[in-house]
Amino acid sequence: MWLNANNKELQWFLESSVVYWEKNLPRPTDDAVILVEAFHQDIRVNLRNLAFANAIRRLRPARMIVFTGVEDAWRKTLWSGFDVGIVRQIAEAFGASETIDVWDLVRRSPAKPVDEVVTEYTDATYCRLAKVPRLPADYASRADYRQRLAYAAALKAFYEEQFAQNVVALVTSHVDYDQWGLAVEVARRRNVPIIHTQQTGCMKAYGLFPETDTHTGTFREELTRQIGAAFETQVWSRRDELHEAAELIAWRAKVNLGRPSWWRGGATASVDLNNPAERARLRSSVVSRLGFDANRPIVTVFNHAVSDALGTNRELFPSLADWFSDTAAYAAEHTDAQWLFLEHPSQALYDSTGFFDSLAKQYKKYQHMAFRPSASLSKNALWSLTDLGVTVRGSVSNELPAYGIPVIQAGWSEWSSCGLSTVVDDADAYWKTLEQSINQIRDGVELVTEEQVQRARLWLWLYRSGTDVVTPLVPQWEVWPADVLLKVLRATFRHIESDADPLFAAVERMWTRQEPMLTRTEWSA
Amino acid sequence: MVGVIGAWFQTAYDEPRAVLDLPVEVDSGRDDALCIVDQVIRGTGIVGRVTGEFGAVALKIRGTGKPVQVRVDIQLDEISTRWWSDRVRPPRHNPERPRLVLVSAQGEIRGAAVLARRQGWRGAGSALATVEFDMAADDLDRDGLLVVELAETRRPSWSDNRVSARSALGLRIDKISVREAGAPIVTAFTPTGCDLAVLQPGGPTSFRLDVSSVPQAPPVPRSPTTPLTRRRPARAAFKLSRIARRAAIRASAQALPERPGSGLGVLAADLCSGAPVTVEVVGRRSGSLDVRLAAVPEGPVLIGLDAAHPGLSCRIVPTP
Repeated sequence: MWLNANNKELQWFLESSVVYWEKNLPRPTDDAVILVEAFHQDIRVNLRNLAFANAIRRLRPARMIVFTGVEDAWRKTLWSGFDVGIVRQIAEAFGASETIDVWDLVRRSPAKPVDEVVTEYTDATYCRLAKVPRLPADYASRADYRQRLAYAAALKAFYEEQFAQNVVALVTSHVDYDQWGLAVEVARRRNVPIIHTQQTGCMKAYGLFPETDTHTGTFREELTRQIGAAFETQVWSRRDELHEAAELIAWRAKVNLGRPSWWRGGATASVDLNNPAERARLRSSVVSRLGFDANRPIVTVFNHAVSDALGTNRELFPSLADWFSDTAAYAAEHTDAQWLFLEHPSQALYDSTGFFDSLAKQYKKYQHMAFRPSASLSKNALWSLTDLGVTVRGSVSNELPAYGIPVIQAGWSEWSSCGLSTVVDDADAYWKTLEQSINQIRDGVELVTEEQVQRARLWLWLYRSGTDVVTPLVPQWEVWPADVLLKVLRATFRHIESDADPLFAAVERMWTRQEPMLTRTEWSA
Repeated sequence: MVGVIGAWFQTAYDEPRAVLDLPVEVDSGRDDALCIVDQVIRGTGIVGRVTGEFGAVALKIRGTGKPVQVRVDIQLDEISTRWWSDRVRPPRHNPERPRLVLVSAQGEIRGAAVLARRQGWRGAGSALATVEFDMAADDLDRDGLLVVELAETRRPSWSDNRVSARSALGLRIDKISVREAGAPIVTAFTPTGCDLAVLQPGGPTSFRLDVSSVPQAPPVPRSPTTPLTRRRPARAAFKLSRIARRAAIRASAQALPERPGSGLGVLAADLCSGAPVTVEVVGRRSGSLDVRLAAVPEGPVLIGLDAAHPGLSCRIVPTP
């Protein structure tokens, strides 16, 4: 773990944590274990996993085993400062009985069998760590790919061994790539509940329980369906009661308050526009920057981080890069609309091939197409320009419909079953929907219904409030830097009584009812 | 067609807009009537500062159905150059170059400004520019939203390496004033501090271009980026070297100032299109040229000496 904290502060935190959890966890009476991963270098990610696991251990006493470690490619691409020693200390302070350096074992492991699942996760991990949108043509013969494949096979074998124990649950911050995804695959096959904590807000988590897992799709596909069903029965049905709260959160989202940790921040992320006239007035200024005509439809295509978790949820195209480049090729032929292609703000962390720039170069001469970095337009400008948004799984498919801008999704996301955007089923339908939507915009047809706007605002509420459990045991993501976080946690451990902590009550609700989401309050009553 | 979207922008928690009555003078980003900012950070003692290649602000004004005159005060200061250098990361030894920006309102180009800082022994003074223009009665519609934008120009190739890239970045919008149209706007021409000048739309076709010496600009400071260079001793050393460099450049300008030679020529280009504008030197005197344009400029026109002279400053003096 990378932790740029004062050593004294860390020691005080560790000491107070040990005392707190010693007195707040029942002793296990059998061989049950709970498996928790700590592969991420950000302490905030691991704290969420450990806190959730301990909340389960209060319900079902078990030993805690923490998986950690770092492999060279992971270290090189993402986590240069990973320190297994600090992970061990923190895991122990949260009452872990064992911390396993998984990568150390995997590196020393003899060759293990390779199957389809291993290959799938290797492919996605290879793309991510090499920061390439697709596997290179000669990938199979590359030494680094073969190495990844061997690692993945060894990882899977290791997880098979671990899940042969009496496992209560797997708590994981990620469900993609080799080190996390293979654990999730094994857990699902062995009917172990999976808790997927989220890296934003206070304590947010999704859960997939064996009893509700249909095994008909990936972890994320299952989740999308279950979230959609819960949204329908628990949120949409209470829309009148939640209206005021959803309006407040829609306003806060508009002015850049309470954003998820990965949303664009800063002064250019606040939206001031209030009505069609203001939008039209700003649009008339902004279009000239792109060489566009304010009176013709503008379709904004939001590029995704091209190597991010490939193939982990339903997608209409073989890869995110295929979707984007095929859409650009379609746009080149369709001059009835103007096309703004926006780069993902964090692409530098996901692409080393210059994918977006090469595409921009390819279509440089097309006057009705513009390629821009995301941050080169303020949100005010973006909202004034966009008549139709297009994405695979980007958060714009929630954000834009909440304010009446239609979005087409060429794939699934957490909220894609909640009825906010137009989610298409296959590539043919995608092209048809694009064409139809552009025609309708030109004819002045409103593409977003009032119900979609309400649903999108309710999703904002659900994501930012309904499923965000406020507990002193998990300070809000923005409580940072590390010294501040550790100090706040030390105060919690030393000075706040644990009785009826919202985390424990919320986890008990989710765990006993096998709900797909951790919720701030009781819904079913 | 585009009027449909926007009906859902409002939430139950948005505050009603404050509307200003003419005459309007807005000099703070906290003013309630400053209702929309686009790539502009609001200021307290100024309207705001541009964070991108373009920056726009919108004021809510109750029009009277009559034409109005708008005045926009902009400024290039030390923070402007620091913001610019942090985002553009120019080559280390490139000298600071003048900024050239368009001023638009309601999506139409209304004027332009060139800003070059006065270089001194210890630092550079701010460069100020004012762009004033008329707007027709129907330019301020019933909604009363006035959008003022600073934007990149289309520049002629001869201005390459003579004008700062991403010129609007970091500029301050100090004040925006709006009043009912009265007497015709009189443009005050001051020395620009560089070998370029700007004529506003409809500007004079005949003018004298006074050329005088100015100290050349040193490179802009760059913020350190590595952990080592961010530390105090390294920063102090950088600062000392900047001071020494500035003093050396200033001293050499003092000792051997660039003099306007006899063979100076003038070029002109339309800043909306970048197209050349026909211009003729009809007379020469020591330190000044008599210049005539073939036609009254429709858009803002960039006037420049026919070769780069970073040690010379131009001033337009209209002649009858």
